Amino acid sequence: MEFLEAVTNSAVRLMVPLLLAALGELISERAGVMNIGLEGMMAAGAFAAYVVAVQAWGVPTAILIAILAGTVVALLMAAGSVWIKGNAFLIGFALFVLVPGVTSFLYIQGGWTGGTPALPTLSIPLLSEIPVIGSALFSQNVFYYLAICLTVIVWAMFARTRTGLNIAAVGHSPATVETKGVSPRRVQTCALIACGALAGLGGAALSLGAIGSYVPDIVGGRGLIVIAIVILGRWTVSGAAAGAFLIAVLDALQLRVAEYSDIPLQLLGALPWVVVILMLIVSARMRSNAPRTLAH
Amino acid sequence: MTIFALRSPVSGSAARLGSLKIVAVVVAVTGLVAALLAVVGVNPLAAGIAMWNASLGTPRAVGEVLVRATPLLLIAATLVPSLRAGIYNIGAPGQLAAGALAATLIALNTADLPTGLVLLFCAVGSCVSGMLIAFVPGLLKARWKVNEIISTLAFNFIVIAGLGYLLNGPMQSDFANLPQSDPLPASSSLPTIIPGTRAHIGLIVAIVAVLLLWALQRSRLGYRLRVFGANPSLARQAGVDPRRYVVWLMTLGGAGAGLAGWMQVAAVDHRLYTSIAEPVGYAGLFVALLGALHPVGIVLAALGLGMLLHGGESLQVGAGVSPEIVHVLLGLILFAYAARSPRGAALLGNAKGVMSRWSSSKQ
Repeated sequence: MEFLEAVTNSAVRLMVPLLLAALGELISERAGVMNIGLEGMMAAGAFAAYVVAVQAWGVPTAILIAILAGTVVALLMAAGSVWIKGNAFLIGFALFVLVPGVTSFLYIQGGWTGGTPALPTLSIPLLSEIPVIGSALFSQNVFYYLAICLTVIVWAMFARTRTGLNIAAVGHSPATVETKGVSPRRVQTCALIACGALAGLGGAALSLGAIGSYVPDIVGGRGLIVIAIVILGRWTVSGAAAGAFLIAVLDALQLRVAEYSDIPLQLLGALPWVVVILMLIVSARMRSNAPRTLAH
Repeated sequence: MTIFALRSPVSGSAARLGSLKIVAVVVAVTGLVAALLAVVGVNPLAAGIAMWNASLGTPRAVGEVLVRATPLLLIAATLVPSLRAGIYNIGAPGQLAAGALAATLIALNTADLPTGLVLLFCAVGSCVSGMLIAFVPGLLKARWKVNEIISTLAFNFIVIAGLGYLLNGPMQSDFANLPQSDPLPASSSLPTIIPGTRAHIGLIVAIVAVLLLWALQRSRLGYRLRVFGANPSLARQAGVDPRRYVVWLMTLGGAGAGLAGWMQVAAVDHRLYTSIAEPVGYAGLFVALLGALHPVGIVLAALGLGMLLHGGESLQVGAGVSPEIVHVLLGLILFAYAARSPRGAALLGNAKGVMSRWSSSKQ
């Protein structure tokens, strides 16, 4: 029982960065932009949040700056893929190499050391007393509650609002949208900015919330895992949330299993990637509601 | 870069405008990197001079540039056919690591055999294991339409994880408690071809690969590949099986990357480290793209990036600059290239189209 509680607790904690980034990627892919640069947006957010937190400017400032940093990378993505109409895959791959390179370079040259101040745990009275799932679901740091609120907001946006409808329409048929007097270019740019903001927040959740420090290569391919999560989730919010939780459970098990068994830690590191590949195979066999401009 | 402008089919004034644009991109990239260096308190001019001296100052330095350029050229030459067909095999790092692992295992276990045999076994072993790692994503794409960008990247992480396990466990050197293998025996190191430098026979292998690529472009197969890249459904009607092409093109890229891994471990590092593929793996892909998928282009691009990689390494010693700066440069260059390159695979299939895009102002 204690094992189960520990696993669910750390799974929920590890899920938060993935979920935030997945919401962002979901918005940009629904608008028809396959954003491989997500990794860069997360790295920018993680690094910016770390630097601000180490300077002791407070957690709210750190979160804001992280969102801003993710947005700046998103603007690069938008400039390259939406405005100049370059190859979106290659632009994203360039950001995948460039941004983590810049943040690691600045981190090493800047000589920052030390962890970030610990985030306070916010417990909801009574509910957090429920055995097994209580502390996992109702006693987490601020990023968890932000992620839950944002998940509901993004879901409501796609299910209930004209904005959500416009975004999905641009992903399916930009030409049709244009005849209705909506600029696909503007919708895609806004979708990418939203994606950058969410991914930047996810990066901050990684460095401030989940790890409590910055290390070079902190994102470590999570941006790509998130892209696979969105594809397997068939571009739905509930699918993305479920996928993020699945990968987070694997991550959490990885930490625990290494304690109790002889399976080497390095081999367990390959596990999420094997699951990602299996997820992609399974998703190819499911009925597709993929944004039509994303045909690949 | 002016060579592209000269060869481009567009009119004189447009070509001039095009070369102006390339100059503007070069100035912008250099300026951004210089600004980044200045931000962290390094004199960009001194760093530039250090890089220039390190890469072209002495015959030995030129040899080091050739050593860096060799694997890049080999990877690029084998990636070009798949890129022409619109397949993005981003898995070179994983395939390279697998090749290096195979070469290391073979070299460590055949120390008593004569050099010629060891080299042959290492070459074949590394080539085959690189091909195997590339074959799986190719099969996944052909059979289940799994996006090859994500699956090849996933394989990079899987192979590096496996390598991390082996180098921390069964293969770890007794000498130190670090993730590294035993040193490779002398019988497995590659013979050098230019006296006074470390340039090795791998260079000849890479040049042969480029010549084969050149011949391929003039062959019927090369024509089919171009049709396949430009219009897959037309190619299918003409009797091209797209699935088989996807699998073979991916596997071909793995062969080059695997051989490059052998050269890295047997001629440069002489020990296997987990960082074997950094940053050679991705740089090979960049060479193919920057060389406009053209045999002459990739030779020039490989030399240029070879200078950059070697210069970047010496910056760490000479000017105290972290080698991450190489990633920054690579990313900026690729960004500039991608912003100018067309959206789909169709136009990528035509080298002239890509070249004129580099130089002409017309979209």
